[in-house]
Amino acid sequence: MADGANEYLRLELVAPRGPVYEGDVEMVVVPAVTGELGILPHHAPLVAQLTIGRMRVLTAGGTWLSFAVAEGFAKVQFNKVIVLADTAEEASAIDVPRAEQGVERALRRLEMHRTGTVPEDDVVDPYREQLALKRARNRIKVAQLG
Amino acid sequence: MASFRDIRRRITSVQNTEKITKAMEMVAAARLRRAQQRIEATRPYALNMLEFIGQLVRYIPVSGTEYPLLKTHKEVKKVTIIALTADRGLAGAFNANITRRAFELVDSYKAQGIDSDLVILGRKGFSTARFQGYRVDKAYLDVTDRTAFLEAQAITAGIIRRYTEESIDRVHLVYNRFKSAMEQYVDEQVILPIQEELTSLYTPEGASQHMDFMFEPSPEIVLSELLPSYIEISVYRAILESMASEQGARMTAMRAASDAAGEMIDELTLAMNRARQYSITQEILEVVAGADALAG
Repeated sequence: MADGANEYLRLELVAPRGPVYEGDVEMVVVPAVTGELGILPHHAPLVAQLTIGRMRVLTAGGTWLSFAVAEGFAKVQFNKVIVLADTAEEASAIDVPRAEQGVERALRRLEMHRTGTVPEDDVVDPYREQLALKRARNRIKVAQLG
Repeated sequence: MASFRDIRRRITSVQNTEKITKAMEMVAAARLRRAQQRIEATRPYALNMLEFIGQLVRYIPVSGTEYPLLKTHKEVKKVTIIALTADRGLAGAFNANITRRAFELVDSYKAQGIDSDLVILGRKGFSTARFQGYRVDKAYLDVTDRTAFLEAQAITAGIIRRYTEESIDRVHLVYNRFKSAMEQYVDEQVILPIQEELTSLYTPEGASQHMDFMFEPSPEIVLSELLPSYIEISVYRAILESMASEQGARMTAMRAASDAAGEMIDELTLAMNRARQYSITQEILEVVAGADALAG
């Protein structure tokens, strides 16, 4: 295909909780640790470490999709991108009130940990709460940006 | 002998219990199906991850000492034991099996003069450990299938940091492995150091046919970030298996309880009929005796 107009690459977005997206796309933009990385059809073999952020996809149909992704990896090989992300949700599928509750809950638990007011029958791991907080905030951000 | 009325009251009480155990059995069955689907859903991620690591390990020769997670510490001075239990009971020996095995490990290490940290998932294990006087280093309570991966990551982050700085030398994972709804068994694995299966993926022949990958930021960094992900997915999978096993164990326990309640009702009904018969016989005897006395 000389003009390249109809050239696609295959995208598979997979999270531990299950596959999130699979399809032919024109472009993928992933949040790599070294900065945003655009991947077009016939990209050279690549392995990139991803950070928490927003991943964008230009589908074969010409529409942009947006995903909230947490840390992970992307592998490009044989005109196929496999994105392994710790969590991944399509922007329109994000439950914003739930994410907001998540932010509040994490902040409350971190506060309990900081002030030493964790109830006798509960335990707080600050690292876990930080992780939850970061992800919930990213979800809200991506949902707003769309 | 218990009176007719007492026995009838007990039958009603057993019948009520039976209703509850039957309902719990059905709820567990529904949750079990969901938990099994969760396990299935992780397969694509886990397979991709393994293939990914396999490719990289072939690309970057892994000598045993370069990556801290692949390195076996010469001397074991301190270990971490991760025990996966549930937040609720009424699941037969589900929780007790795990705490028993975990405490046995702690005790046997102690006998060798080796200190161990307990990391516990689930309220049941947490309270048993506290009650029996075992020191709990970290605990994760009220874990749901939504948050399970987060918990797996938090557990993994802690042990990886300490393994890397060599303040722990080995990590055990004790959990109920899911075989079928009827069958679960206690599985105990050493998850750190990472066992040879991964490093054995590296072969000189494989290395010669590597692809020319570009790496962002560098192959060494990518691999050293991938290895923790491998541990995370192993722990996550174990949590999901434990959750499915819990429902299976509860289903079995509740079915046994319902059966026992049914048998008890049968026996009590028999006893109740006997008691009624006895009181009727007694009354007749009294009437006959009275009549005889008058006739005499």
